[in-house]
Amino acid sequence: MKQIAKLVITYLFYGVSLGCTFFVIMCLSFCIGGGDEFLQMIFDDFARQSVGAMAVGVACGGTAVVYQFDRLSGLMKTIIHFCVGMGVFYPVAVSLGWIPFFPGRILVTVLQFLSSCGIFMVIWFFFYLFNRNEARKINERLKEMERDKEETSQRRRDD
Amino acid sequence: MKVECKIDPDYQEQYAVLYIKKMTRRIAEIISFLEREETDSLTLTGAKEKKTFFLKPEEMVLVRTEGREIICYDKLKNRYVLDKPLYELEQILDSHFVRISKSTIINIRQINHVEAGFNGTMELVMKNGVTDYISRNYRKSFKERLGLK
Repeated sequence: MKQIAKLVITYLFYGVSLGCTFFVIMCLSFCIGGGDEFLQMIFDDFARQSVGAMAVGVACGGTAVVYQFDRLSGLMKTIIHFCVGMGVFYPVAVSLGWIPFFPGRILVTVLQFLSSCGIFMVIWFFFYLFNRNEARKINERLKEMERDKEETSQRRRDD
Repeated sequence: MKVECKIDPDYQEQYAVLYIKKMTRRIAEIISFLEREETDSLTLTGAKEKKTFFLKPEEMVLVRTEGREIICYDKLKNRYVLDKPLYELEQILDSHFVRISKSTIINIRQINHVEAGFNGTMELVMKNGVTDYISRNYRKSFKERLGLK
């Protein structure tokens, strides 16, 4: 239990730092691209904007803690991560003006929601590429070990 | 590497201690070679259809918790119920056996391949067709055991 609490707290901090880092990088990029006017908009509502960024960081990054629990199936972990991430990101992004919201225009809202899901998919895809590379290295090593084993048994037979 | 050997017939149990900077493939091979002498004679018992069978470690492919039972799958995918807990098996079995999650120990000589999952998981397919997942917590030690960083 103590270990689980430690793990959750670690991921909570990880989520907060992820949100803060992303917030600063976004502010910096928009500041360089759009000038000080953009920063002024952020500073006018700084408390809400920064807390929102931290909340999204925790919801998207911190909830990755579910992958540490063996009892849940892979699909269940993905569903929890996706639902919590999207469930927090979308309302926060709309309420803080990160995503423009057009009340009454259902098609636009649906498209916006789907594109937000698309961002999630892209992030997952990058994780998949990383994972695939890891799997490739492991498979190469396994083949190497198999070859070594065959060579050793061949040598023993020859002796 | 410097090697020091102490020979004393009074030793109750033979053991080796290695002072290494990191685990390499060659060192892993040396460890498994040294362990083989002890484990060659090791035989476990497993129950199948109310009969007890002797299981040699090299025949064992995967051992995992299924419900309340500790199950061992052999090369022919036969399913045996073991009477020892996983942590005890982990200590008894040689270095060819590695834990991949809280509930599973596998024989690395019996891995066919690994597959990457979309959600960051890694699925392991054994030579007898049995599959399991490598938990993130154990991935690092699994890779180290293979001699990978």
